[in-house]
Amino acid sequence: MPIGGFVVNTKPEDIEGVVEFLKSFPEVEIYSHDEKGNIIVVIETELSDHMDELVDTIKQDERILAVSVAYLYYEDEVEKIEKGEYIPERFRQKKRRN
Amino acid sequence: MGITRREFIKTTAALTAASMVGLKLPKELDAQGMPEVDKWVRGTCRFCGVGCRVEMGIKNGKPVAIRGVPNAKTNFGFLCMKGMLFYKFMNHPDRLKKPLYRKKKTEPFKEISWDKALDIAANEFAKAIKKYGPNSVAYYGSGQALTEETYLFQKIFRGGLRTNNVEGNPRLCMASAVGGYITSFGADEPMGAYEDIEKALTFFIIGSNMAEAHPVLFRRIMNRKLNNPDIVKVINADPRVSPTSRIADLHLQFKPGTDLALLNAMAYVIIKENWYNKDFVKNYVSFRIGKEKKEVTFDDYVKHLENYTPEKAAKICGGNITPDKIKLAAKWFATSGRTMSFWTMGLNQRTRGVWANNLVNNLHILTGQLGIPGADSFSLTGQPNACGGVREGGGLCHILPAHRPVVNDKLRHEVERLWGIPEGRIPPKPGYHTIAMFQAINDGKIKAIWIHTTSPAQSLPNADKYRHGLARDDVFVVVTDIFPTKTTELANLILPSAFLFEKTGVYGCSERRSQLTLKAVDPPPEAKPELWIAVEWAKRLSKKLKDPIIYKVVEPFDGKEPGFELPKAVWSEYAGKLTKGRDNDLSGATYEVLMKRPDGVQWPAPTQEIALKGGTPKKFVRGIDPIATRLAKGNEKYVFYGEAHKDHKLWIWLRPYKGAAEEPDAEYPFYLSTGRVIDQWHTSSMTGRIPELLQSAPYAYVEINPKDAMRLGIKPNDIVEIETRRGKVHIPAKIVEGPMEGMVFVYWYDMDEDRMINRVTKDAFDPGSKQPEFKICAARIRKYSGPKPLKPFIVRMKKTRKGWVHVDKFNIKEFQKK
Amino acid sequence: MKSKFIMSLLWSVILIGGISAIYAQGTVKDEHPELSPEEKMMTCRGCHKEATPEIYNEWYNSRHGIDNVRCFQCHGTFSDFHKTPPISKCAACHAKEVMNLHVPENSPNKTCWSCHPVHTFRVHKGK
Repeated sequence: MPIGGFVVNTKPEDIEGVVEFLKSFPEVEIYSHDEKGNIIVVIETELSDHMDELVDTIKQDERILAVSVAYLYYEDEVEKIEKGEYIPERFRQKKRRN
Repeated sequence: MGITRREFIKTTAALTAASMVGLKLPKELDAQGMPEVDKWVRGTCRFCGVGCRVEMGIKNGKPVAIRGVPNAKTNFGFLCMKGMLFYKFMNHPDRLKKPLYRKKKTEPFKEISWDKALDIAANEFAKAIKKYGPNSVAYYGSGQALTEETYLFQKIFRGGLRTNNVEGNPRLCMASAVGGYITSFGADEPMGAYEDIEKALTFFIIGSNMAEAHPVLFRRIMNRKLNNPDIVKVINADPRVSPTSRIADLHLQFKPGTDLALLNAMAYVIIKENWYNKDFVKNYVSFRIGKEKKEVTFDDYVKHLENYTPEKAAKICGGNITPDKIKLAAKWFATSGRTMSFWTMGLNQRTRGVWANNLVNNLHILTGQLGIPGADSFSLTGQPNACGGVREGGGLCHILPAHRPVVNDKLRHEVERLWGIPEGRIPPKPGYHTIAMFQAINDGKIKAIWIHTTSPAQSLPNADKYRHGLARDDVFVVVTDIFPTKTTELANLILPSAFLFEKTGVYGCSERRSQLTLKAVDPPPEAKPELWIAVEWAKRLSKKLKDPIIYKVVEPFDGKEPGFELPKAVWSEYAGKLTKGRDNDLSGATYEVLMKRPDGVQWPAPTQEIALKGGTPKKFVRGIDPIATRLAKGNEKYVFYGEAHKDHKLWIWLRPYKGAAEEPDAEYPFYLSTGRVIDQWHTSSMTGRIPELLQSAPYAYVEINPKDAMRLGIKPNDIVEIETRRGKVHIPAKIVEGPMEGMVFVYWYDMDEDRMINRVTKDAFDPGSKQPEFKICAARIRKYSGPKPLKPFIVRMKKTRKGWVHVDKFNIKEFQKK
Repeated sequence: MKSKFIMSLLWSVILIGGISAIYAQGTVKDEHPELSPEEKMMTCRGCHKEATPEIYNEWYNSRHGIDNVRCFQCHGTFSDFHKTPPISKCAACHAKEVMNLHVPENSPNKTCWSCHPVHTFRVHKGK
């Protein structure tokens, strides 16, 4: 289960509402926020693809200015990727770009 | 409590993100810092009489951590293993969650609604009262119930149901200390406080294994000794070498029960060597003897002590006692200038417990080592709220709230007036004391009993005898508790209660300090705080018995919010009205004041100003004790205003040596003594459900002296049969230089039928205090078998098709037939 | 092509693993050496008196030992075992000191035993 640490940016006046919005996702855990509008969250999903989807969904909310990745940990996915059982979408895309 | 790999990675993820934007995460989230919580709620530890202050860490409405309160004057932030871990069983699957009822005790329990449960409870008590009179019902409470709970229940029973059959398990542990203090000082509870420890020069620890039973207080003595190894002396007087003996300079090992001779001999030496305080004795002391409390002279006392010269006493005591050791102990005791004595069950659980207490108090009175910093005669209380709730709140059959004896007409009517009930409601005579109460059940005289937060089926001496009474089908037994116990096995009605921190309330510890615990989490759904249970029950009783006074008794509390307002209202009445003007005045210690203190308030605290500063650390001293200050006529140093001594003097009692009720003989040649270990609290119904503690102490052991073990061919872990005149049990052996030769020591926390030691102890009791002699009876032991793989046992319940049943080899149907 | 991505993946893992390692310091739980069910029924100190007598004596003669602060309170039990405990465990009794450790002046990985030798916990190392 991959684990990711993110900074969610929003305007100061939207903080409360965005926190409520983020709370509605069971995979998202809110750690802290400051008055400037930086919200620290940790997302844990079954697969990386799910995490990418979730981040995209969150970005859809117009109050959210940015979602920045700080930390990604693939955990048990690594084994699967090595065995060729699973390739996260983002790597497939990267491959094509190369 | 270390974090898992996954949590650690999540924390690292959060930290990395936070550092990206220069955000500092709350300290609690440091990967190496404190556990992460939503809030810390302050309260008192659930266990022993030290009264450690703790904060419970709550996350998402659940308890996840505990830490000590660094500026609390009881523990200064420190905890023992039990205090550190008790939050772990609060959500244990065995928690009682629904009211359970059965008409016959051989049936399984059915889940019922609270409405029905309270109705049944009221019906049964009303039935008994109507048919057999008010003294056919009883309440057996606990030194682990909140002060508010004990106070309210006894108010209902005395003022409402008109019976003084109100008792509690402190009868089994502290009654002799109460008797000792009242006869020696004129008033209950220690004069001094824990803070005397840091100033004391000699410690006399007798009949106590503080290192395991009061570990956080022992820590302070240990530090005092280890930081000042040459000037501080520690004397440990105990037939058994225990972990407490490790810091002792002198260990006095005497045959169980002979300490009365030892203590008298110390007094003999003190007088002979002129080490007593002549001025103190002249100004403040009276000498007394016998039931009639006849006043005698100092010379009579000296003559009486001629029977206890060191040589004579050493002969009586045996063990390692020599005349020289007695003289040395007396010297260190008397000439230090600041001696503190500590004791618990070794002196209290005796047929001559009051006398033993008197004799220790005597030594302090004789040498004037009272009322000054570092000197005190300090009785350690075992339970967290035996003092605050039962001794002060009116929880024993012969005393009303705030130390008012039932038999005193003036004071009894005063209570009736304060309660706003007609004069004459409270019966003028005490009710049954504990052993008499359970005997009355056996005799069919008590038809309904409410047992609250205690397990007499395991904790009474000669337990099988009294379990027969409780197992009767014509005795209605209702039990309020949080887990199944050996006592819920004998109940008709089990009511699930809220645990500490799931309800708000006060505990008063050994040093006269009342401390408040705030509600931090909700109890399991359908478990209720006992105050609410009591009010609702009383309302129904009032209707069924058509007696409006029963309602009047709970009227001020009816409908109050049970989490905070209800206990606050009960405390306001008890502390504000009942203790006001009495020696344990707590009227200044309102909830608001208690919440401002890191610890609590020591009585007397007659004003909020005094209470906010912490109250009174030393009783009877003019200038420190507000009551003494008020009563002082001139410049006298002390005013010993204890109500039981009209002469305002401290009494030195002429007490003889008298042995135990059942001493070893040819047939039963061993002394059998029982006691505790640090890992398990009382009957282990709570601590046994913490995996770390159960693994640390999974079952009882019998400690056997190596010489006896060799003689009897007993090796470590062999199963030993311990037999007394009352039955036999089988317990694994621990061969240790612990008990003296000719004595065995068994831990009593084990619930397994075959290892439950109280089934074979003796229920002889002190004629004055009515406290049983758990510490001494006669037994014979033999090797029963080699080591066996044993399993720890904790009573559980399981739901079957027919209802809830206890899972135990104890079978009530078979037991009833015996 | 596949191997290139697995390589970059592995590098990310190593990098992140490295960052994790800096924080590790024993906060992730350990495995106690394998024991039989009978051996597991012994108390920690009962076994370690024979198995690691030096450590046992250090503990037994310390203030923890005399006041009955026992192994599992710091090291946990089999399901929750730490050879080197996280100092959050110390916080139960030493909350003030644990919180004071986390000040900017101290290095990020300072622990109690940076100065107080383990088990004996005398005031300072060497004193």
